[in-house]
Amino acid sequence: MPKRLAYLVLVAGAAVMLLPFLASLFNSLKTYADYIAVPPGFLPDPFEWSNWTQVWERAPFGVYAANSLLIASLAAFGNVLSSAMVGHALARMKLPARGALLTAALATMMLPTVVTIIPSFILFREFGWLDTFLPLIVPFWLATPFGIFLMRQSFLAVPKEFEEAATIDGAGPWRVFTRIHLPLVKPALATLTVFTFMSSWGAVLEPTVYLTSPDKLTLPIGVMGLRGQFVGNDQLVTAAALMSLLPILVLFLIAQRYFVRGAMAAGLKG
Amino acid sequence: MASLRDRLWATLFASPYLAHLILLTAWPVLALAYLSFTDYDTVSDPEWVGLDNYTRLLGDEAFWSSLGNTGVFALLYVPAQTVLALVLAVALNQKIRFIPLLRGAYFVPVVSSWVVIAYVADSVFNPRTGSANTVLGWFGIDPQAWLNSPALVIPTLAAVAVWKGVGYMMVLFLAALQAIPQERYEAAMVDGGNAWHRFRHITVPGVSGTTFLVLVLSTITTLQAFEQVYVMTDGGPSGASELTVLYMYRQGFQFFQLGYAAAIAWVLFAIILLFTLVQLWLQRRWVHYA
Amino acid sequence: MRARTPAALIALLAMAACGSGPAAESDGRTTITLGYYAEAGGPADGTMRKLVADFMKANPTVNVKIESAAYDEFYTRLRTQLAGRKAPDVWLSDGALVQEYAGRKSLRDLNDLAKSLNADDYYGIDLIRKSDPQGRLFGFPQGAQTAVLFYNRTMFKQAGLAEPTGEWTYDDLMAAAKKLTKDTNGDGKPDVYGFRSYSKSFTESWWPLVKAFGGDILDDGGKVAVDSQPARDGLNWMLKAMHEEKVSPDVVTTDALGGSQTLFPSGVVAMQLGIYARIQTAAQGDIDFGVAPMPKGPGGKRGEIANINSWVINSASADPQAKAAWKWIEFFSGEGPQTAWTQIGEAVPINKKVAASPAFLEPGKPPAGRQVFLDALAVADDLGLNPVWSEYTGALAKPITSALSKEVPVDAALKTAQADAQAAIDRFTPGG
Repeated sequence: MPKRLAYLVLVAGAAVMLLPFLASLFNSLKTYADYIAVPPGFLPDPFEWSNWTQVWERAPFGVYAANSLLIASLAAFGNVLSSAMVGHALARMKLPARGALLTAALATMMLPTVVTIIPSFILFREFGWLDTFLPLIVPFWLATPFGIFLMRQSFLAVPKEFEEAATIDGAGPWRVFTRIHLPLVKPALATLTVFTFMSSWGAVLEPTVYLTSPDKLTLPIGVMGLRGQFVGNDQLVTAAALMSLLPILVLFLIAQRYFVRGAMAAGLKG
Repeated sequence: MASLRDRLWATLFASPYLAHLILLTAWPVLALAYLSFTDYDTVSDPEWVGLDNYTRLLGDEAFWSSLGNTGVFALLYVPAQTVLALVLAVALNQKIRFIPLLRGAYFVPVVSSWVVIAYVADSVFNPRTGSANTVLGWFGIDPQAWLNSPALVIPTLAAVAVWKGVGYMMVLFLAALQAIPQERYEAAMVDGGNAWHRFRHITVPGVSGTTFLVLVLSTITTLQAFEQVYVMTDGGPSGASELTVLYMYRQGFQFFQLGYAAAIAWVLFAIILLFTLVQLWLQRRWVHYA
Repeated sequence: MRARTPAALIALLAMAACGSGPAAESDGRTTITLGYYAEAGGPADGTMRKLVADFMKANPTVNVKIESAAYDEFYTRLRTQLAGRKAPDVWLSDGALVQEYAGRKSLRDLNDLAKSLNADDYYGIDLIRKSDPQGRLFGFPQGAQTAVLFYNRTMFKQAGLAEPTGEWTYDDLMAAAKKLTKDTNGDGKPDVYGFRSYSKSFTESWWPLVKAFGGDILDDGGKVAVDSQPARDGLNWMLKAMHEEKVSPDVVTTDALGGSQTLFPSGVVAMQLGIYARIQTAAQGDIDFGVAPMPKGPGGKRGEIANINSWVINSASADPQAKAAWKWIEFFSGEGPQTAWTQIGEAVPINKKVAASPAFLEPGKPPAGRQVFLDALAVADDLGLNPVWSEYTGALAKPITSALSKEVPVDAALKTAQADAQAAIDRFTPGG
């Protein structure tokens, strides 16, 4: 592909990616009358900056954000720990029925959460976990197929010599795992952290089904809860939605290379 | 050499996933199998009804049309996503400047949740206020109703899904492109092949493994397209975007017919399994491992 | 370090796990959870919270925990709460949904509790009783909704038309709508319409039209009755308005332009059938508008229907909670709270005294002449309620909407609607 064409394609594509965000940012700064005006204007007239603060008066966004942060952090930590353990067992330990487990992991990858949500709901109801954060966190502590594959891949790439040296020094399997191998796969750990955090942060289905108390909701559910029945307030909901994007956007800007690396790692195993 | 102690340790390390398999795989599958033969409204105990749910499914037009909708969505979304991602990856694989910046732009929709995407997409496809109709107007084309139009709702949803997902798939292809040895291109240049020839005979086979992965991931995405449709259209207008997963959710959590919902879930299992087998078969025929 | 990490994690997990649990009641107070739907931070939400505070002041032994959300979210959540056995003690139910919960044995019969109030003082009790096959009282009225004709006074004045009267028929409406429809940008297609006929919220659209033309949705025996000539006439009138006379935006355009939420307030349509709550959105659009009785069909019927939004009490709640919940319902039905509720203009007050007071009839804001809501309410029919309301009305709405979009012929659509809706009703067997 000629370079000039490449630039053209990429810049045009990037504009398509980003302009809608800009348009919705402007929508979030319109008054309701301006928002429903025909024909629509691109720029707000006037700029209704108070939309962004009004959202905070209408709903406890701080509480939602804290809930989302707690859930996503614990989910990410749990997934990294458990997936690393399982991936380690698959890559570096003498696990019986290793092949069967790998196949099982592939199979669960094919089982969408939405299909299993009904029995999961019944299970968590029996555990007394409804309207707690546990159904949103505990599954991540039981390792995810994506995490297992990613970690297994990374552990396979670690040279044997480190482990052998440590074993001669009398280190047990846990010590080898935590002290020798984990530090060597830090990039993969970071990748899995940001990926899990991102998917937990944006989840809609599970929090919709499991959380009901107003003080336990997550950000996406809180945003959806602003949609009025009788009143037009989409400009406010747009403001709320964009606000819920901010934290993840900041995380992405900081950790872009881990997002990309994670995606690439997933691609290479194909 | 593998002592019992070693195996115990390994099992201990793998135990989270063993629990996962029992609680989050085996239990749902078995529970759904049982429930699909019952009438269960979550309040009273499940009541055995034999094959009733499955016979109802056979005659349920709404269910079949939801399968059709899912199929159309997949047919529009999967190829478009794959081709666009490959084109962008090839462009990004040139020695050009601002790569992280450009790549980052494509990742913004990827990291946004569907709730955010729904409102951002509204700024484009809202029939009254969206920019899509403004752009059509420049070319003298009548405004369209997009998500409110029974004919356009699924194409519009597919376009939004591509827009959200293409950055991720692009990076998958980028990884594969960078793994193709540069010598092959150089050899082809010496032989006098043109750009299209090089793309067709070196790039496409070189990324065939990733193409396969992208196809699998995209197909899974269409089956999981629940959140997108739930947030953006809730199956409307009048059922035109009711995908099978949403139909199942509605039966279960809206109409409290969990037995019927379980039967739908089983049909979905069967379809996913079928697709996986077909794709595995295709993989064997298509993919060139270099 | 290694010892501390798990401890911190366990603490965090414990935080994550902390359920609400039954509130401590050592001080002799009864805690109840109260659920209602309202736009967060909107006037309804604010007023309701203030009333709850007043109620707790007046009843120091009762502690109320609020669970509120916007309409769609509220019911999504309520459904999972019911499935998970975690629903509030008392909640505000859309009138159309009371029988859904009652049919699944989630509601307490309020017959005995309601003896503390004189039924004649309130609107809607009869309609709630009528919807139950055994005449039980599964909800107590909270606010009434009934549709009337909304019209934009400015647009009528500009067109030089007399405002609608109680004698109007659907023919009069069509004639006026023709004069109100305009092509303002000269592209050969109307962009301002006389009348919105279709709406996703069918109680402001085909439902009353079918009734005004002499048909019905359910017959008195609870059987679906839409496959009838009057129903076909009603739908054909709508098709004529949308596709022949083009005085109404078609189905797709209606939804695309925002439905009953924005079409009338933004001045895109001059008239609509609207429930009382539409006053709020119309007021937001800052237009001058009036209300008139529903137009008459060919046989002189207007097809008034009422939806009585109701307080319902959870059948799983213990007696002390149920009694405290009833106290709240009594409080809310009283003159003071009803007057406060009336001022936000969201529903017709169910307390007849308040409905007859200037607070309701002359609030000093458009529309004037709110008596038409009371007149409609006095003769209004119920909505054909039953335990599968959501499912059977969904089965009706889908083919009817297709017919109104000209995708299928009216005859075929009504046959499908009849069969599918009846199947949904027949499938339901009361849980054992």
